[in-house]
Amino acid sequence: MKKLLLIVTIFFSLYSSGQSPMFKLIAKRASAAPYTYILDSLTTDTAQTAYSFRKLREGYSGSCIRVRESGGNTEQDINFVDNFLDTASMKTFVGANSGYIVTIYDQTTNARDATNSTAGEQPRIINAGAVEYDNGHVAARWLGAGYKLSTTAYTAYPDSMTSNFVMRVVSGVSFNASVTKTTTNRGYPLDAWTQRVFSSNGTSSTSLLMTTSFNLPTSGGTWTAKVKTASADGIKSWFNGSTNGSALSAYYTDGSVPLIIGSRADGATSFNGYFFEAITFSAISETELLDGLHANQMNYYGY
Amino acid sequence: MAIKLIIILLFSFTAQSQDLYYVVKSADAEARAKNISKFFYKLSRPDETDVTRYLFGYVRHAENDSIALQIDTSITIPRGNITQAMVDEWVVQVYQSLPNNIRNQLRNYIANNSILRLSALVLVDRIKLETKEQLEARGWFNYNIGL
Repeated sequence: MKKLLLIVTIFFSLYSSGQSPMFKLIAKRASAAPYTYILDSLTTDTAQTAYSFRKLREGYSGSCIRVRESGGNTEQDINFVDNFLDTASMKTFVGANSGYIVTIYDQTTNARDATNSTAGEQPRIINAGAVEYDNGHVAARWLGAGYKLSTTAYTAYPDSMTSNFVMRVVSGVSFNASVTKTTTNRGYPLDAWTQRVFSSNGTSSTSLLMTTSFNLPTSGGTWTAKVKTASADGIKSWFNGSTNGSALSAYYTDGSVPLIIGSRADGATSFNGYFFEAITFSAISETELLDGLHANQMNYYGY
Repeated sequence: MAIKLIIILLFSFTAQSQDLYYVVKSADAEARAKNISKFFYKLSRPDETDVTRYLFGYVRHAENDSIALQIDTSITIPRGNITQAMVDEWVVQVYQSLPNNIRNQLRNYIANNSILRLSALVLVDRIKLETKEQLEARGWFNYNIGL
């Protein structure tokens, strides 16, 4: 009887302390919600580009990123494991060196991968053997001037462009860019940096001064900038599920230029901070954007 | 102890990255800049089968077509499997011509080191490096930010 009591006592103490791996596993499996593929969960499927270190669409079977390791400058594709970047394989490949993102693969069916063929401009994903994390999640580190990943030129947003991104500025430099599609220095149709979102036809712009600035280390989270054809509230911003300002859009043309993560075409506005995820849409309702996408990202990334 | 501290401080300072700029003088400055950047990367990866093909980024003058390579002289690159002919080709592509003794010094440095220091490969009397502030004084980085 005493032995039985002892076993029961040990059982409950392990259970309540949560120290036993077995109980941790039982608790995890019991509480784990099914994984949500955010692009599949949206009723409108108008995503034009989608980049992340987690899987956004169940049907996507490609790699997550291509990485260059600094020890010998060799490159390798890194896949997903259980819907997340295979950090174990990446660490094995990079070793004690640093790893840089050569390409982040587009998870939509459009294959608009974002890449950079210049070693000195590639965002860092492993720093001297340690995977980059921010707020508890894998994140790529952009280090300012020159750092960027770009698609090839394309058009896909005839009436509006919605650019959603989860990023956090580390250093509030003069012009911290997020995700843009520009000529040399004008949106074509969208430019977004520091505290402004621009709607443009490639030569003329109108802009929104956002309520909350993107350019603050405390402003990490899920952001969305939307521009559309000329209208009174054609430029809009949302931050962590809330409206972050709106303004007149007087100019809007989607030109055949690349989408750039962390810069704009002239390199004048380069991001210094952490990048987690970016998705663009040719159309998405505000309800789906906030209740679906923002809610999912805020829950997952902890903002 | 004091000497150790000085050495540690010295190394920590020299390890700081410092982006400098080389304003490329050429009729087609962008092509020339890309070629220099490509051949520096080829010292590390000569086979060109990678996505990455360039070592340095470059910036364009805000008001004209001048191009400046952005060069961090504090970095090192791993030497790839390169032949003497490739090194000679690199010298020609980057420096066009060099006195024999300097060319031989570069050859020997590359042949005898598996990790190559940019500060040893960039000959500053041929590749004039300037600070961002020096370029700013001549109108660089004065971008139209679109407001």
